Amino acid sequence: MLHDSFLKTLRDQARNLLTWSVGVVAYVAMLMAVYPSISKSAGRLQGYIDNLPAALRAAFLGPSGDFTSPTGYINTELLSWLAPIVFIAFAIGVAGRALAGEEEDGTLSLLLAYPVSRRRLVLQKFAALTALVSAIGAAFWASLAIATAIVGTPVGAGSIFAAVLLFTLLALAIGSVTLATGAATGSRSAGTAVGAGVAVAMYLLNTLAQINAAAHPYRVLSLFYYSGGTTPLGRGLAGVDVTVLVCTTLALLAATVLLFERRDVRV
Amino acid sequence: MRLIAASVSIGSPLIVALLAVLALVELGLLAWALLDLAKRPADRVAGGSRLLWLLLCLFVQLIGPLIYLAVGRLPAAPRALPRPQAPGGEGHVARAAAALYDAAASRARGAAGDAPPGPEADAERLGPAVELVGVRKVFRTTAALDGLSLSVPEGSVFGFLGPNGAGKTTTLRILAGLARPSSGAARVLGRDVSGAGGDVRALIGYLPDVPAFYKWMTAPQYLRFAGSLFGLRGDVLEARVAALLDLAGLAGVGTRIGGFSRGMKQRLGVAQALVNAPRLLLLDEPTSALDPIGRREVLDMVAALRGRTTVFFSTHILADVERVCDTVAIIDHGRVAAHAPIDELRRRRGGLSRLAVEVDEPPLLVAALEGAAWLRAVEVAEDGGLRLATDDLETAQRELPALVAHLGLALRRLESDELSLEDVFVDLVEGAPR
Repeated sequence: MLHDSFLKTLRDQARNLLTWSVGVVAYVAMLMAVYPSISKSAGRLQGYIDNLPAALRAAFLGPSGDFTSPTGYINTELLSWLAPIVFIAFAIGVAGRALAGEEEDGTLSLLLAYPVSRRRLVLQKFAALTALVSAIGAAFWASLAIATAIVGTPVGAGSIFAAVLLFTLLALAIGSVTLATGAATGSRSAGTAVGAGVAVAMYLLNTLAQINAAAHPYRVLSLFYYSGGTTPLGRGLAGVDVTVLVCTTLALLAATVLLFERRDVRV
Repeated sequence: MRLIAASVSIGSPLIVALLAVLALVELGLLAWALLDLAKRPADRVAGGSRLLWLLLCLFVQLIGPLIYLAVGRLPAAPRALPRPQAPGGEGHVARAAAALYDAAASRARGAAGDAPPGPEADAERLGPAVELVGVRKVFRTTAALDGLSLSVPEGSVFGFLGPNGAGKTTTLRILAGLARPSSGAARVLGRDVSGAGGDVRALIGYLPDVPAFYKWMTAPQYLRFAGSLFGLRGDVLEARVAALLDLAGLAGVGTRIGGFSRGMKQRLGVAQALVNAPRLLLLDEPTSALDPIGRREVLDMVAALRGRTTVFFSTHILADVERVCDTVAIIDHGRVAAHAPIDELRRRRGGLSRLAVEVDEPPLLVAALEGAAWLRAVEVAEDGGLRLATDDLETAQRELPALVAHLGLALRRLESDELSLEDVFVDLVEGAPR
C-alpha cells in the first residue's frame, strides 16, 4: 500500500522507468553486438581517427584518441554522450513532475492540505528521484557488464560501476536543478528548461575546455568534468569527483526546501 | 488485443498468470543461454553464436514489458458508473457522515480510556474554530484580501458568501495552509496557520473548488493513500475507507479516477476531506459540480455534521446557505460586508418586510399612503402592483385593508414578502463602494 509520497512517486514512475530501462538495455545490447566487427577493423579505423584534426579528436574521443580498444569504444559510443543524455533526460523528467508537475495538475493542493510538511515532501520526492535514477543506473550497469562479459571485452564490472555511479550523481545534480526551479516557480516547463539549459551549458564548457587552452581552467566549473567527460571508463572513482557532485546536489536540495517552504501553492 | 482487453483488464488474474508464465519462460531461457555461454571457449569472443544468444535473450526479455505496455495502454473494460445510490434510502448520506464522526469519536474515547474530556479540552473546544484578524493578501499590486476579520464558533455551519473574485478561495487556501497572509493573523482551532505544521492540518479537512486526484488511482486507493497520510492504518483505515466510499456513492466503482465525471470527483473530494473526521471542514464551493440530487445529499451531510464538527462552507449559491448555515459572512472586495446569523442579518438590514399589493386604482392608494407611520418606501412594479416596505408588518397588515375599503377600491392581492438573503446580498454587494 502507498503510505507516503515516496512510494507514490515510485508507483507514478513505474511505467516510465520500465520504458527507459528497456531502451537502455536494448541500446547497450545493440552497440555491444557490433563491437566484434569493429575490433576486426581496428587497424584501419584507428588510422582514420589518427588523421582527424587533433581538436576534433580530443573533443569526441578524449586526449588519447582511442576508439578501437574496448574501453575506447565504450567511452566513445556509450559513455561520452549517450549515458549523460539518458541519465540527465530521465532525471529532468522525473524531477519536473515531482513538485511542479503535481502543482500544475492540481494534486499538490490536496497533498499539502494533509499533515505532510513541505520539507518532508521535498525530501520524499528527492528520495524517489534518487531511487529512480539509481534504478536506471543499475539497468545500465548490469546490461553493460553482462554484454562486455558475453562479448569478451576486458572491461571490469567494477570499472563500469565507477563510471555509472558518476553519471548517476551527475544526473541527480542536474535533476536537483530542475527540482529547485520547479519548487521555486511551480512551473514544470521552467524547471525542465533551466535543468536542460544548465546541462547543455556545462557539457559545452567541458567539451570546449578540452580543445581550447584558454577555456581549459574553467572546466572545473562544469559538472561533466567530475563525471569523467569524454573518458569516464578507466578514470576510476576519485573522492573529489564524488564529493563535488554530492555536495552540489545537497546544496540544491537545501535550496529546494527553502524555496518551497516560502511560497504559496498555485490554485 | 483490444478484444482481449475488453474482457480482461490489467491486474486481472488472467493477465497476471500470463505475465508470470512469460517471466518464468524468460528466466529459463536466460539461464539456459548463460549456461551455454559458460561452456564455450573463452577465445571465441566474437563468435556469432554468442551474439545470437545475447540478442535472443534481450528480445525475449522485452516480450513481457511490451505486452504489459500494450495491454496497459488499451482502455480498460468499460464498467457501468453508478450514480450515487442511497442504499439506506432518504438521508443516507447524512446518516453515514454522522455515523463516521460518531465512530471516530468513539475510537478517540476508547484510546483515551473512556475518560471524560478534561477542562483543558473543554476550554480548547469552546474557542473559535476559525479566527481571522485584519488579514491582507496582496498579489503584486492587487489586494485579494483587505483587512478581513471574522470569527467562526466551533461546532457551527458557517456560510461564506461572496461574488466571484471577492476573496473566498484565497481565504480558504490561507486556512488550509496553502497560502500565507501578507499581514494579519489567521488562526485555526487556536493555532496560527502560517507558522503551524502538520499538527493543525491533521485537524482540518479541505475540499478545493476543483479537486484534482491521481488519475491512475481508484477511489479506494486514493482514500487509503489520504488516510495513511493522516496516520490511519489497518482495520481502522479500511473501515473508514469503506464508510467514505458508501457516503460518496462510490462503493463498488473500480474505475480509475481519470475516468470519473466532474460530479464523481466532487463526491470523492468530499469523502477525502472527511477521511480524518476533521474538527474543521473547509469546503470551497462543494455543490458547484453536482446535480440536484447530489447537491441535496451534500447539503444534508453538512447539516448532519452540525455539532459534530465545524463546517466552513464557501459558495455563491444563496439557497444552499439559507438551507444549512447557522451564520453567514458576506465578503466583497476582500472585506467582510456583513457577518451574523442569517435571521439577524435580515433584521439588521433595516428590519424591513415587504408587502405586495394590487388594487384597481394604484395612484389613489399611493396618494393615501403618504404620511403612514409604518410605511418606509413604496414603488410601482412593472405589472402595476405596489411594493411597500415596512418596519411594522403587523400594523400594515391591519391598516392597509381598512384604508383600501375607505377609498372604495377593490383589493385584489395583499401578500407579505420576507427580505431574502439574496436581497441582502445584492443590497450589500451592489451598494458597496467600488
